Amino acid sequence: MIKGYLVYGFLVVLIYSYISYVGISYYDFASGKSFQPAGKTFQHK
Amino acid sequence: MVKAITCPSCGGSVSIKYSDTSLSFVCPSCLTVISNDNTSVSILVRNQQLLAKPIISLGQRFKFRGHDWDVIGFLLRSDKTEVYKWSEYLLFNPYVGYRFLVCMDGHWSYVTKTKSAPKVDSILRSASYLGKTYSLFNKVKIKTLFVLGEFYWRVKANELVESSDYINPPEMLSLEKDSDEEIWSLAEYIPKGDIETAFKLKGLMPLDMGVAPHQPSSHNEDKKLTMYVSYLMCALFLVQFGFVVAVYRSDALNLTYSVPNSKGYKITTQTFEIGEKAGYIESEISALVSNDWFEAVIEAVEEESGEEYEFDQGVEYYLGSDSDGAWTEGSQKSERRIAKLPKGKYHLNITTDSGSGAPTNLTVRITEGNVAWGNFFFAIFMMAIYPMYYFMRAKSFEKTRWSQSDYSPFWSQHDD
Repeated sequence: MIKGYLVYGFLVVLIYSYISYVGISYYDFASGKSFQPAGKTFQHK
Repeated sequence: MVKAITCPSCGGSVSIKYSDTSLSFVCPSCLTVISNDNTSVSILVRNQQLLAKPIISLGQRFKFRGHDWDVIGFLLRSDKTEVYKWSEYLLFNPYVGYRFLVCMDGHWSYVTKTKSAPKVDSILRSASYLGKTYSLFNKVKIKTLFVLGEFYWRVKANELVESSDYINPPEMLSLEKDSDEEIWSLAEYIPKGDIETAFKLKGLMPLDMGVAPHQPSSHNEDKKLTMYVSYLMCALFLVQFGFVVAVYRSDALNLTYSVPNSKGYKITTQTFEIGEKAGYIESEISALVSNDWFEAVIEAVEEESGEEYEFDQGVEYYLGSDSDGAWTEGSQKSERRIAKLPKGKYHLNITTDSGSGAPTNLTVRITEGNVAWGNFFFAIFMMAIYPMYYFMRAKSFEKTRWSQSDYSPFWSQHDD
């Protein structure tokens, strides 16, 4: 269970690093608004 | 050495398996407790009532902890109120000595007499033995209600002895003291599955209830968890620090336009360039509105491909005064975080709207390289969920354990 947490935490760091790099906010996921970097429409906070 | 003795109470024949070392035994016919002297026998307790039946058969031999053990005695003991009762089995191996197997509320302990007396600190309410410190858990008076089998001491039924328990899970130090002697023993908590297998008790095991004083917590990896949390937080801080140092905010566009009629007015901005900077892009607009709202529908057009990215953004600002004085509501400026655009050259097509259509000045600012602090704090929150749950469960377990103690560290005041 504890090792599982380490894997989980590592994934959190990775995901956080990626979405921060590409400029996505957790809010996009929390609000159900998907991100479409190559789409036609911006997503807003 | 097996010895047959005639019961002085009922005349029945009693077989003593270890007559050289057993100082008292129980007649299986009349349950009288008999003292076994070298030359004679005498009655210690006449005609006990059958208060309990052992679930481990007396006289049987079992392998446990690498040794063969004969189960030679059984005791039913209780606190002085006789509310809390537990069973003790006396095990004997001629080459190893005596051990006890104790079952209380379905929790099992393997008990050995200590080789020396632990050091007791009455101020700190602790006892030290073999480099370990044990915390005082309870002081109670206990007595023996019922016995079966044979024993290496002279059983004194219903005589109260003082007992003190000190815990350091999975171990418990116990002191039993009467007017004649002090006996220290060390109990080790044994998982019930081990007992069930070793003593062939499938289907006979009592249900375990509550938390035993020395039951090890399943939440005993707090040091490892704290270490993992530290590592992960360090990684998070390093990444965020990297963003703050490496990513800097810069303007891609920052211009002010005159809007003579803010209802349906169209603006096309000059071309600006979006690079490949890390972080998000922010659109900031400000419009000099007063007691009005203003909205802009903005299309970012990538000039090479013609791809359009549309979003809207508005401001509203109201002011006035009442009996409490002047007030304002809203702002003439708003920021909107927008997703990262592909690298390229862009211009904005802006269509404005407002409540009054009054002329205004519109400032549009597009910045890139904004560090997402919200993500950082959200990641901390996501990482903290499990440790918070873990430590709450661990504390709850300890509270349950200590709820049976008069010396609980969870109490602000102790009642000795």
